Amino acid sequence: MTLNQDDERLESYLRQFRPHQPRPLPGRTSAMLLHGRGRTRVGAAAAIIVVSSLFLLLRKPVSPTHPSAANMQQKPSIAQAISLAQLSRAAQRDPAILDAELNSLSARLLPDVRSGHGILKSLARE
Amino acid sequence: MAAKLTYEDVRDLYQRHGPALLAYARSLLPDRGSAEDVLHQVFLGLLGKAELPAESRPYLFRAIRNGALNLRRSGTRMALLDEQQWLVKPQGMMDAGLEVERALRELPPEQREVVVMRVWGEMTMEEIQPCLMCRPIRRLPAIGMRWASCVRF
Repeated sequence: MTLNQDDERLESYLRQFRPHQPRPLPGRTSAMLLHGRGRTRVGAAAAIIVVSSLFLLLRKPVSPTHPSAANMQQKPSIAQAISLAQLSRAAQRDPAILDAELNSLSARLLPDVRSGHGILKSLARE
Repeated sequence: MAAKLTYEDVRDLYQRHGPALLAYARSLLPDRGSAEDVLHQVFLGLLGKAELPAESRPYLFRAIRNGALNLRRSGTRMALLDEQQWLVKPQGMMDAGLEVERALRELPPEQREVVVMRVWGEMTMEEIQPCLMCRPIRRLPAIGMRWASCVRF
């Protein structure tokens, strides 16, 4: 297809004006990170970090590391055991039950005078 | 299997065709910033791809067109073409250059695309037609009437 003479003259006139240069492309590293295989690698690394973080976060509360924490979970606290309401109920039912309750509590609260390694034995030595 | 395009290949293509493609993107988008964004998107998208067809210009112009139309469809930056200068003017031709830019802005969008592809993209009318998916183009659009008034040969 041939353009007519006016078109050719116009084209050569317009070509005196050149289009602006675009800003340069990003450098090789940035370009690879933004597109192509580099982007896949960055995505894979990010996925690994996210999965590892999630694993650590979810794992932490499941396994208490301090032994006393496990004991705390198993045994009821002293405060729970000596609740006033509980002792009142025992006294109303039968004084013997109250005695038994108090005996079992005192064994946990007070030093054991019968034990060979008890606190009173140590004090007696001094 | 064809070798993949390296960064150097892409940079060479960019240096060769970048200015004409930027002018083309400018003819489709309202501001230079978004035109350059589309240009970079197209070229960085070539990294790691198989080699381009032997005649790469029509492919690149089509890619720019698709990128620009997608951006326009997203509707975030629709505005009239800005008044920034598209062209570098030779010394003593500032006024004429400004007139050319004004005439380009006033052309209907598809005709403006034809002019930019033909003049600065140096594409043949046969190459332009499939890019625009239009009827065969016989000559530069509306040149006789519209352009003669603003361009002094």
